[in-house]
Amino acid sequence: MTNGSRTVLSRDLQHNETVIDTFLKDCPGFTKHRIRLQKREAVLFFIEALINKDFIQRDILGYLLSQDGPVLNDLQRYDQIPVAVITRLDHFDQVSDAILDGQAVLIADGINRAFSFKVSDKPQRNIQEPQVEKDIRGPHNGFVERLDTNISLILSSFKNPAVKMRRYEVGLRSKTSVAVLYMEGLTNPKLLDEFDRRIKQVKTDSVLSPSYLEELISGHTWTVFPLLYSTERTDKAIACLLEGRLVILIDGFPQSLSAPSTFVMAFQTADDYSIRAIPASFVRILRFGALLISLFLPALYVAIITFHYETIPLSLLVPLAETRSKVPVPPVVEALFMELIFEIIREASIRLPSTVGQTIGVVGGLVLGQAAVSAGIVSNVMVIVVAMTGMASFIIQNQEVALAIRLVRFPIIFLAAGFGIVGIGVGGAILLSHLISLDSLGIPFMTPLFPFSPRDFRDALIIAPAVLRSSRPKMARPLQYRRKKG
Amino acid sequence: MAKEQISILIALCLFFAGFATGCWNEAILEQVGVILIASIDQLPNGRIRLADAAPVIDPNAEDRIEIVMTEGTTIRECREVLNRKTGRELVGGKIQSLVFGEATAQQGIRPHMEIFARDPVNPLLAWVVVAEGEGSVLLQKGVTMEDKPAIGIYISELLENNANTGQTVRTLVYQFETAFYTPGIDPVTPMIRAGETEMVVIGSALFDSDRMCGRLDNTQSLMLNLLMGKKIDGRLSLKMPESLKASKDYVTIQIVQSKRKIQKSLKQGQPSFLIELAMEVNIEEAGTTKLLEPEFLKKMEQFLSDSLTDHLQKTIRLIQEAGCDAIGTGLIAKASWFKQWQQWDWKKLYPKIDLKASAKVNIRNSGAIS
Amino acid sequence: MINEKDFITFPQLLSFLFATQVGTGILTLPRVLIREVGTGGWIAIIMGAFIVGIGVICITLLNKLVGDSAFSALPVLLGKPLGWIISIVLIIYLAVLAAVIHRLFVEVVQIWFFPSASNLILTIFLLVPEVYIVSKGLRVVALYDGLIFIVIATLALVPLHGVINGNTIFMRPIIIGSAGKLFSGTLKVGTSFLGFEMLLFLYPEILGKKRQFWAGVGATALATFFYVGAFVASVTIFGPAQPAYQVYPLLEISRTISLPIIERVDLLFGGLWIVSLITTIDGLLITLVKAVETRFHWRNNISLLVMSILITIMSFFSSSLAEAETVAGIVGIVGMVVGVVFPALLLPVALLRKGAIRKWQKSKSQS
Repeated sequence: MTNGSRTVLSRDLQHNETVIDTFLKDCPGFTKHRIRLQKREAVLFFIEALINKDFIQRDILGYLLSQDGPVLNDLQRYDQIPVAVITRLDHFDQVSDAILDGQAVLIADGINRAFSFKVSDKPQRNIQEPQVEKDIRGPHNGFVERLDTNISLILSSFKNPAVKMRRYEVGLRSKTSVAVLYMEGLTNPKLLDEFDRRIKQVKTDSVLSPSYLEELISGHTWTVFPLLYSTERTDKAIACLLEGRLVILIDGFPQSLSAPSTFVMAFQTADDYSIRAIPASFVRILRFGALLISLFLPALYVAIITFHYETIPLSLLVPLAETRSKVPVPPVVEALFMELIFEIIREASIRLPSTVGQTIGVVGGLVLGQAAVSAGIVSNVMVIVVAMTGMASFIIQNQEVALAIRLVRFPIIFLAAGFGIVGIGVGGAILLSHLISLDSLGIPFMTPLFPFSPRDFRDALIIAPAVLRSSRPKMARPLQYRRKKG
Repeated sequence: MAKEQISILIALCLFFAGFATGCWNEAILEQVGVILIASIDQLPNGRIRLADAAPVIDPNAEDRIEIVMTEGTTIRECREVLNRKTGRELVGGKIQSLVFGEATAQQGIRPHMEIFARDPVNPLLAWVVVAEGEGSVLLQKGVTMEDKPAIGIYISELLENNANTGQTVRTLVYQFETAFYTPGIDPVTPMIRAGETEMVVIGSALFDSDRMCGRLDNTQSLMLNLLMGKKIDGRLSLKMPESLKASKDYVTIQIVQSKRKIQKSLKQGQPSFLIELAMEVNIEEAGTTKLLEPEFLKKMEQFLSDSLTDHLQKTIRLIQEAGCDAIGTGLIAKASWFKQWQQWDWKKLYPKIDLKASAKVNIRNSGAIS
Repeated sequence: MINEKDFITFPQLLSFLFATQVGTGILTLPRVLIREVGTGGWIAIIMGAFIVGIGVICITLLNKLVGDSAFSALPVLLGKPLGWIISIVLIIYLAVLAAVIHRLFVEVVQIWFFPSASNLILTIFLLVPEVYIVSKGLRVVALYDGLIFIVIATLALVPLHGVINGNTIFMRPIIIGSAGKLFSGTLKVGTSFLGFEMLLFLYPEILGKKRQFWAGVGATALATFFYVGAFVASVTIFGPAQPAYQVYPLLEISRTISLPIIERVDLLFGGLWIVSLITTIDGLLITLVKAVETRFHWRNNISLLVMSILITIMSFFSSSLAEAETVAGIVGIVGMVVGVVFPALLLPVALLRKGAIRKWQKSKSQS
């Protein structure tokens, strides 16, 4: 509703009513409830589907109708209406925004003000653990779609007056509420200013998703890597706040964004902190190993079979050659073919309902793989390579990063097919320099590896015991490094 | 933003330009013939016979090795002819051993090894071997040995095991080349004979530069290894004198450790070397039960020391007469007396220098019985 | 906060200089030194390092006196016409050096991996990652150069292998040939240390300018350490005579290493070495681009494009490895002049022209 009438309400109720009608006439559930008290008139506007009738009936109408007439015209007495949040509005667009937001707006004849009451009761789902971010130990809470509920989820687990919020409205049509949470005295104000600067530059109709917002404020349009990570888990969001990071909540989406994010964060899961440091480090290293496998294994296979047979151990040479000899296509075609099949199976199993999805995954994988080998279209080593690569990419919990890695794998396979290990080296060089050049809200994306910041190694490739992690990581440049002990 | 886009576009364009022209140096695994062992014989007419053994990739048949051979002027030319015959491109990236016929070795093998140095694909870790007789005959016989592993693997395993026990020397291509190029040391290589049903490592071949000039048997090779200061796990059987004999004539010892010290000096302007070996041995078979008696033990040690010294001296005489400075005394001479070295003609001088060895044996243990 | 595209800190400068220095030099150095000097070649390396050290001192002093990179102050120090001529000569030097090293890079890949590949395709292909990294700015280049430490750490196994499995007696006696040979050997070593003269061109970009001396010295010291190690390893494994015939002795050493599962260490080595060569050329390229920006005020990406085309064309001027190496030798001597003699000569000039320098600094801060 961008007819943008910053027009002020008039004292004439009739006129006000007419103007509001033109905006909201056929809106579903639009109701005008007339109140008459001793010859004074007022109209309560609301949208039936969005409000809680009890509040209106009991707290607004019930109260007003028990009072005398002047209550409607006496601005002071509006403070006595028993509704928790009452806002005074002056302009028509504020009025229509409020009504559409699920508030009830009261306009009395003779006053050029409107009062909105927060009595909304929008539908929402229950709090449950996010599907894609399951952890074994730790809380199972996840954000929901309503911004207020999400804020309450954070505040209720984290009772600290230092948690502050700034609110923005993004999207010229959708007017989506975006809230940024931070910890005063801890979060570096420069981070906040940077975010503020970037979000104010955003010009868009609506915010389609958190990743959409992330793309708009990241400053790097063409990269495949997400620069602000999203999480649906409340415990992760709180951990971010404690490190001096920003948590960005968007009304209508259960995914929260945390800024700044770094590449190594994609390999951290909440589970890592619920178990001891050394076993957790082992798992962490496993994840990085999986990263390398999922990036380079198919390309290495192609490079070795096509150019560098000398690297194959002697005992494997003949069996490998024999299984490859049945395949009619060059190694690179074989590899791309199998990888694409695997990606198709994976996408398909996401879309199917959960009962069928698991079976399809297993059946598709096993049967297709086995059948392909028997038919002689691929070699059995290729099936192993593709399976390992796939498994390795499942280890990365952050879905966007995992997807980025899966995508990057393909150009590297091409390079391996053209230039062998030299191609892989060149591909790796380009990938690495690309990652180094990325930044998340001003912080280098590849911290603590490039730039080399040994202090932050306690929680990057390995995890140090809790005792050694008593100070905050440097990466968000917090104002205070020591965690509060008392 | 525009900057980044432009540079990415440029990068992509250049990138894909690379793929516009097909591929090169492809050696797709199942399409090439991977040579496992090659043999080179020089023929009287100046041509070369090259024999290559490569496994046949046939998923429907049993594993087998194919030997192809041909004659030509250079090795590469032979290879070309062979490629025409086999229908696959033969590649040498996995060559385990390079075999030379005895006659060829005597004429000099350096010219034939050139491609090994020039082409980086060929492994420098391949064995250099001399075959008794002709190399190609060795390979052919090897292929017919039914119950032995594939010939390339068989020979390299044979060499590896025997080098470890000191029955022959360990010489890989790069070691041969180094010894050849460096003045003051000469190469030695293992030597193999093809029997009817198996291959036998018969000792070592001595080289003067790159020409074969003599040979050693297994025991002498063991001695040479000790003289060169190599770590080996060797065994030796020696005939005992009457005073030590009991129920057996021979004693078998296992050499556990051998420390080498070389005393060098100039006597009347001529180099003189004494190689002292301090050896620790275990007695494995002796036929006596007196090994816990200190006096008997001392007598045994003395006998072993003398016997070993004798064997060492014999070996030294052999290599000196052949003109093969396998131990590298020339290197020591060059390092210690450089001024004089520049005056000497080491090839002529070496057979005449005073080169002696002495062994001192210490019996470490003799097993579970006395 | 952190987003300045072109500022680098001390550790990044150290990586940058070290990575730019260690390139094709270390691959061919043992051969050159054995031919020229003999088993005493490592003495030439150390002597070369000292001379480079003098160069570093001169350059850093010069930069400090000028308060900016010596290159940008050339018109002030030498007067406009001479200053501009020398600037252009220096830019040409950088471009030719980049082209020569790139050509040698292509040669390594050709000899070691793809003997029948087309020169043009390889030249362009290997240029792509270099141009990409340089287009991201000095900071990214310096950060990426941090990889050199991982590469070198792995390759440090090579000298170790040489010392453990090699025969140290090959190193004795220490032969130097003649003093003249030693001197020419030292000059040839100089080529391998080129990279330190980048300090002439980079000054405002360095955070912590006081430390540029230590970065230059540190990088050269590390490079010396590895060059000596590579030389010693070549001799102890291949003897005092053979390295003279090996084109890339360092890669040959890797061919003699046998590991349990990885059968051909030399391919792994070559793959790692490509990283190092990329870091060398991108160091030269970014300096070249910066120099052009300082003098001619061209936008970075345009000069980058022009330079890469020029380099591609220049790579084809030498038609064989022998010719390329000759050119490299000449450029190496020019580089030593640029890095050592030239700053040494400019020092007294800078002292004499203090007044003019001050005026220039004032006018800079006002504009």
